[in-house]
Amino acid sequence: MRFIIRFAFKNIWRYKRRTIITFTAISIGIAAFVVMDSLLKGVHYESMRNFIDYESSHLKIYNNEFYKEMSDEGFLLLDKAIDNYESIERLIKSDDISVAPRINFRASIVNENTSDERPFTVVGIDPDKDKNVYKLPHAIISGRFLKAGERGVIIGRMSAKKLEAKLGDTLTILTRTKNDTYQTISVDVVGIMDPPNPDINRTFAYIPLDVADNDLDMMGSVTEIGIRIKNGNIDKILNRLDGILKANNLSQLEVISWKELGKDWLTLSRTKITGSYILIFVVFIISAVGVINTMLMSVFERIREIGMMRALGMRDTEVLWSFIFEGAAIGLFGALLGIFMGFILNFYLVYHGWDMSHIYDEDVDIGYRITNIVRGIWDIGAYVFAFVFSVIIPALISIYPSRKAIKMEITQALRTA
Amino acid sequence: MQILLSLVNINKNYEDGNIVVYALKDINMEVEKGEFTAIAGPSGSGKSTLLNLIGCLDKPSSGKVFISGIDTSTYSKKELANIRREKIGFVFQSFNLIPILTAFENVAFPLSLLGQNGDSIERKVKGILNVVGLGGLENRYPRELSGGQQQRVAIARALVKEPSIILADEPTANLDSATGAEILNLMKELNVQKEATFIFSTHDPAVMDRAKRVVRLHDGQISSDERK
Repeated sequence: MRFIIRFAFKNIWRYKRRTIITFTAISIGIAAFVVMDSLLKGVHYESMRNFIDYESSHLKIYNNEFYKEMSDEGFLLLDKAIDNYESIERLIKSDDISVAPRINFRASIVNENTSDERPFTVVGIDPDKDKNVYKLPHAIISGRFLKAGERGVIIGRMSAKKLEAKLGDTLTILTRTKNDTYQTISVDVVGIMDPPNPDINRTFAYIPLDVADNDLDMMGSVTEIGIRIKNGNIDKILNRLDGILKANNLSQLEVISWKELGKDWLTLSRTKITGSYILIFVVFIISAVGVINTMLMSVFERIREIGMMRALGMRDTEVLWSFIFEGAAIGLFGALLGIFMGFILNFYLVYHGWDMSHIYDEDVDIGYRITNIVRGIWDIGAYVFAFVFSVIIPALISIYPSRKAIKMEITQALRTA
Repeated sequence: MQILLSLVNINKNYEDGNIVVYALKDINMEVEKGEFTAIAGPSGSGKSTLLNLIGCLDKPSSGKVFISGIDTSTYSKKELANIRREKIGFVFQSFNLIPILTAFENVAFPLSLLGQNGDSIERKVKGILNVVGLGGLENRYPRELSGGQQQRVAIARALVKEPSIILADEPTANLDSATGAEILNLMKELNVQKEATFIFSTHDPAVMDRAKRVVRLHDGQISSDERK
């Protein structure tokens, strides 16, 4: 068998140019697969992280009427909020979770200096509790995070640019209270953040929870309670919290997981991944056609030689194996080159990333929760899959023409020109 | 003398649609060890068909082929491959060397199929290449050798495993007359020195003159069998 393997390896260099073209096609297919896989998964996982860290937390408790209006119509109805949230916080308190109440409301924000006005989702947050659940403080690029009780606001870098706002500017929030009366809230910009989540960067502003509570007449109610799980299984904790709420006759409240909250973009992301895999599959097919062509030509040009080798006593299974090894060897070289090329490109994507800030800064929404720099990930599984696939497929493809060759009578093969 | 090959009532027919072509009819023949036998006859007389049957490349329609006393006509494809691998050497009209292998590797090919080890292969291949006059050309590829040298490599490849029979299908047909004569001299020398049993087909009278035995075929039948 060692002799047959050596013979197969020698044979792949019989037609150097053809072999090089074939394994270049394989290597490009593999590199494209590895890089695309890395990028798509990188974007997907980073989107997930940014969605959880800046938007959804792991779980949220809503008044089910508020949640229905929000998810169906996009309305944030303050009169459908969670009343007396502190008592609920006490009920669900445990060591494996952190909890942060929020008041979300729609508003227009006007920059007093420039009179620019833009629609926003304003969020009242408890600065101390919020940082245990979300990562807003990590995103501050100038100024500072909020303090309880102050008439301050933090906004994203992108929204600050649109509003032409800078630290210290006074912004006026125009909205309606829980009782549906018009209200203006004057706040000073105390911090500008650059969160890696374009929604938050563009259209969200954060003020202290107590200011929102007071100015919107919330009387101690909040629109949502965000929950970060420190350790444990999300679904188990969701069920536990649901049980606690039901046991305390709080069936108007429901616990929603981040997967449910992000189902729109998660579906979009999965669809994009599937679509991209189809494209990659086409690249693979093109590579496979290259291999089929090479192996067909390789076998059919050597019919007479195969006949001679069989005449000298080479068994049919040995002929078959020699072509299987030859196909596998072409795949192996293609795979090694492809994986090397993919590794280099991926190294760049993982450690340097692909700067997409020009897209996000122009208000373009591609559905993902990422900004500025898109990074790949190291997915060893993709490398293993690509390697195995590109060695096995050419090997399998080689079986067909070599079987045809060994079915031919030796005397007929020897007469072939 | 030891009988190496025995053909008993051999017939070989080919069917082409409704037409049956009788390629060989009632062939009976024995070949002893060390014979230098020419199968002669015009084109279409059945020379190649007969060599194919002797070489276990084909099976007779009826009759039996005995090689070293073994009836090969009932053998499976794999068993026939084993017989060819161990007992038969082939020399083809158009040399049929493997272009990606050097002269050394081409000659080593049958020994590799037999699973022999590297040292034994090296010793045998170098030895036989010297015998056929190609010492020092071991590393040349077939394209770097003349027609005569290529046929010498082919003869070395046939002989290296010391088979019972060496079959050569018109071994000089693709060579000029001087080179053809050299090759024939070489075959004859090996026949004498190594007691190698050669059976070769030819329609060249000059080649027939050198044979110890000439079996003539005509329309698939043996028309004469002369020993000199």
